[in-house]
Order: sequence, then structure tokens, then C-alpha cells
Amino acid sequence: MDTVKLVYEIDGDNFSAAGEASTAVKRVLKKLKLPSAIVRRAVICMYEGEINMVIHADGGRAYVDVDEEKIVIRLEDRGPGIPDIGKAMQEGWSTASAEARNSGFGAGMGLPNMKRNSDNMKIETELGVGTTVTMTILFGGEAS
Amino acid sequence: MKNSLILNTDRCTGCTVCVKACPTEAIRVTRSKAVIYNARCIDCGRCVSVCPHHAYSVRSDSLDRLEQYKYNIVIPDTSFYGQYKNLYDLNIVNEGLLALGFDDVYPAAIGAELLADLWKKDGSTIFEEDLIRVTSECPAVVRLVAMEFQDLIPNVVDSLCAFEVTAVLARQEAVKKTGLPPEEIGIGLISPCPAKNSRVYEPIGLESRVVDYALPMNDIYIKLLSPMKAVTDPADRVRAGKLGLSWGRSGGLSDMFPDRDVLAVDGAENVLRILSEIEDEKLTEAELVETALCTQGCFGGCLTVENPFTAKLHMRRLILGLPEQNLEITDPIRDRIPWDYELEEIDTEIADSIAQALQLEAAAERLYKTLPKFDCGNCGAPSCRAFSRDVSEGFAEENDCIFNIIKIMRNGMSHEDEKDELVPPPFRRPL
Repeated sequence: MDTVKLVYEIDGDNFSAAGEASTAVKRVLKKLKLPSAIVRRAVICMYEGEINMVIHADGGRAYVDVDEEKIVIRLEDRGPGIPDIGKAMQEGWSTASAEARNSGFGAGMGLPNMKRNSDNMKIETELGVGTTVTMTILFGGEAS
Repeated sequence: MKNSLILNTDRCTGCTVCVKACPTEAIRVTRSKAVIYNARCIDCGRCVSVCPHHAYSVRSDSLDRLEQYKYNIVIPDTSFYGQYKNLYDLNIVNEGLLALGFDDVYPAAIGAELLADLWKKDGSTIFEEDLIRVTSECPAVVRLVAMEFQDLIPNVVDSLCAFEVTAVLARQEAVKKTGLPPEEIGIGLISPCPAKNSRVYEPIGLESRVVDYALPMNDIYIKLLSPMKAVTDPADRVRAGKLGLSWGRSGGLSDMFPDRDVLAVDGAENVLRILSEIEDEKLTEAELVETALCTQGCFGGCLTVENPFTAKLHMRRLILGLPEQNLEITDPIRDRIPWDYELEEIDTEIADSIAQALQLEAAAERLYKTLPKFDCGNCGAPSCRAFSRDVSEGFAEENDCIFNIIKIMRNGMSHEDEKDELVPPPFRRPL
């Protein structure tokens, strides 16, 4: 079974470039004959994750693997880590900087949106070391 | 669908300027000549505009077509009036057209004003709650949506083009006036671009053609210069007011809704970007997006003569003394004109299963990683990414890439110095 493997470097602190990787992912996904709802959900997951990495973690790396059954998006950063995942998952909770908020980010909807649009989301985080978020979107799945 | 671009291979030098300019990557150069892939072409005419050798022409008709009909009506696209310098009255153009042999003139602004009036009076004919509508006046954008943004098909305003509405009305009125059967009346469009020509030849949502022939704007522009000089006291044939006449430029349509969240986007790159943002639900504030594939709307069409900005200035001057609005949609007109159409998607992907699509894309990604990403165009494709897709789909071979050929050459040499001599400076070892 063929797997399309994509890797993107995400620049930290560059709000005008934020979203470039999700645009690139979308360009590839659109060629894969996937249902458009799947593509849209994956692009939202990727976009929100990308923005999070820019705002909180000084960038990182995104891995996107697509096979016949699923899309797996893995976002790795070497940022500060998430102290309280429970709080971070609450809608509206944000620790984004004033600068990020001024650019229209930091509404506290990132992680909730990622959770809502994926069938499975796993967060591995260690304070001072970094965070890895892995999201799976199943083609036969039924995420809300 | 057939497109309206014709390549004169004698003139084509294979320079790849059009390959790079094409917004849908529909052109490749092979064996020293450009090749257009019809399925991917949206007829925008960028290639016509940028070709340094004027190798492209546009499928269209000549004035000889008038002889086939007993009565001829010409529809000048609104952008046509902006082409002339020192013009102070739109009707001088109209009167000049009569001298060329037409029996009547119905500016496309008539249809524009009727559509505008319909939308103004009943917002539900254009706006839809929770849906960002995309205007359908530019046929190239409509085709782009059908081809690359299928999710947005419901967003496209399902109305005919202004020139089509004008044509339907003009024929009905001419039948009444002359007593001739409809097929003996010839209707021609003075067109700014191949997209409108294609729309003339193959309409969407109409059972048959409503315009009989398409005349290239640059051709009619020249033919009209001397008859226009002879015009003394022109009758009024514009019929429309500022509302309809403002449709030639980008923003002309959206300006009629000052109290709604409407924006106007023109130019291929900008249109692609905004459609992508609508698709990703990143654009949330707008209710209606007016789109035109050419810069400055139809004034930027490849068959126009004047630069689009100056043409806009001319138009501004020409409509100064005109009433805001002259025409109103009446029930009989509304009933007589077919307004709606169904837009069908155009599938350009080669793969017919996810498995096959994955296989093609995985192969393309593997190759892409090895390419220099200079997007030099020497392989005949617009970018390394497009080239890697071409290879995976079987339309090109890995060694069509000049860099891959250089790699082979380097590998054949035993000494590094020798290798460097053979290759162009960018590929020599760093000092």
C-alpha cells in the first residue's frame, strides 16, 4: 500500500508565513480523490496545529502521512510544553502573547478545533522539552 | 469542452513564457512547441497576453458572419467602450457599429442592469444565508471553480452572463420588431477574452446558443475607428444607466451593495487565493465575492486594446452625465429570460481510486525531493512540482529534467575538476 509522506518545517514567530504548510498539505490532499469533507477536516487540523506551533513553540516540524485508510498528522515542537492539558483543551482558554492576539490569533479555539476535526488526537508533552500532537483522520471515521 | 485558444506553431519558439504564466498549469512545451491541455484550460487568455511572439490567437468570428443573417444585432461588451481615447459619447461607438453593417446595438450593460435590478429588488436571488456567494459574470472563474474548487459549486451565483441576458432580450425584441423568425436574426458579441468566446460557442445552462458569433474586441476596435469619425448626431442606444455600465471593471458589481459585506477580487493569483480561503472557511466575513480572472476585470481581457487602468478612466468619464439606473426588471422580462443554470464539476484527475491517486502522488513526492526546485522550466513544465506529477502520470520522464542529465554527465567523469568543466556554473562545487 502506498503512503504519501510529507514533511514541513514550520517557522516560529512568523505570523505572515503561518498557514503555508497547511496550504501545501491541502494542495496534495486535493489530488488524492479523498472526500472533500476529509480534506477540509485535515486542513483545519493542520492549520490550527501550525498556528499553535508558531504562537507557542517557536515553530517545529509537521509530518503528514496519507494511506488508503487515514491521514495522520504529527506535529512536533521543542516549545515550553503544556502545563495543564485539561485547561488547554477548554474552548477560549489561551496563553497566547499580546502580539499573537493582535494578529488575530490566540482565541483559544486551536486545540478544541483540532480535537473536533480529528477522529483521534494524542498529546504528548513535557515541560521545557516540547510537545507532540498526533491527529488521525479516518476515511471511514465519524468525527463530529 | 473545447477551449478558444489557438496556437500558431510557426510562431511558437518553445520559450516557456506561457507555461509559467498559466494560472492552472495547463501548458507544457514539448518538441520546441507549446501544447495546451484542454481539460485544464479555463480560457483566461493569460497565454495570449504574455506570449512575446504573438503565437496565440483566439477562436472567433469575423464580420463576414453578418451575411448569413437577415438582421444583425451586436452586443458590445461593457469593456469595449473604455478602449477609445477622446470619446465623449458612448453612442458614437454604437452609431459606428451600425455603419459596419449591424441593424441594432444592444450593449451588454442592458443585461447587467437587469440582473443588477433583480438582485437589488430581491436579495434572495443572489445572497444566501451562511454561504459566501461567488459571482458568475467571469466565465473563466466559473470554469476554475468547476475544475479546482468543486466544493464551491453551490457558492457560485447561478445566473447567466450579462451578455447572454442581453442576447435573449435582443432576439425577442427583434422578432417582434422585424417579424423575422428567430434563426434569421444574427447576434454577435464584441468580446474581450477567450472565456467569453467559449461561453458564446458552448453556453452553460442554456439549451442552445443565444449569441451566434463572437467578434474579437481588438479587431472591431480598429474597424470602427474611421466610421466613428463620420458620426454626427448619434441616437441613444445605450439604454442602461451607470449601474449596468459599471460592470466592465472589477468592483462594478459589488459597489451596488454598499450596505452588505461584499468584496471584489481580480487577477488570477488573487482569485485563486480567495477561492482557497473560502474553501478552507478562513474567509468568514464576506457575503458575496465579486471575481474576475483578469486584472481590473474585463478591461484586462487579452483581446482589449487599451491598458485596463486607462480604460477604466475612459469609462469613468463616459458615464458621468448618465442616470444612475435606466432599466428595471419587469415580470414579463423576468419570465422570458432563463436565469438559472446548474454548474457541473470538471474532473481533471487521472486516478480513479484513492489507491491509484496515492500511488501517483507518492511517486511524484519521491521524485520531487530529488529535484532542484529552481522551477527553471527547461523540462517544459511550469515547476518542479508539476514536472514530478507529469512523470508520475507518465507524461514525462525523469531525465527530461536538465539537472538529472547533468547528474548523469557528472557521474561519467572521473575527476571533480573535469566534472565541473562540463556543467554550468550553478552546478559546480562550491569554492
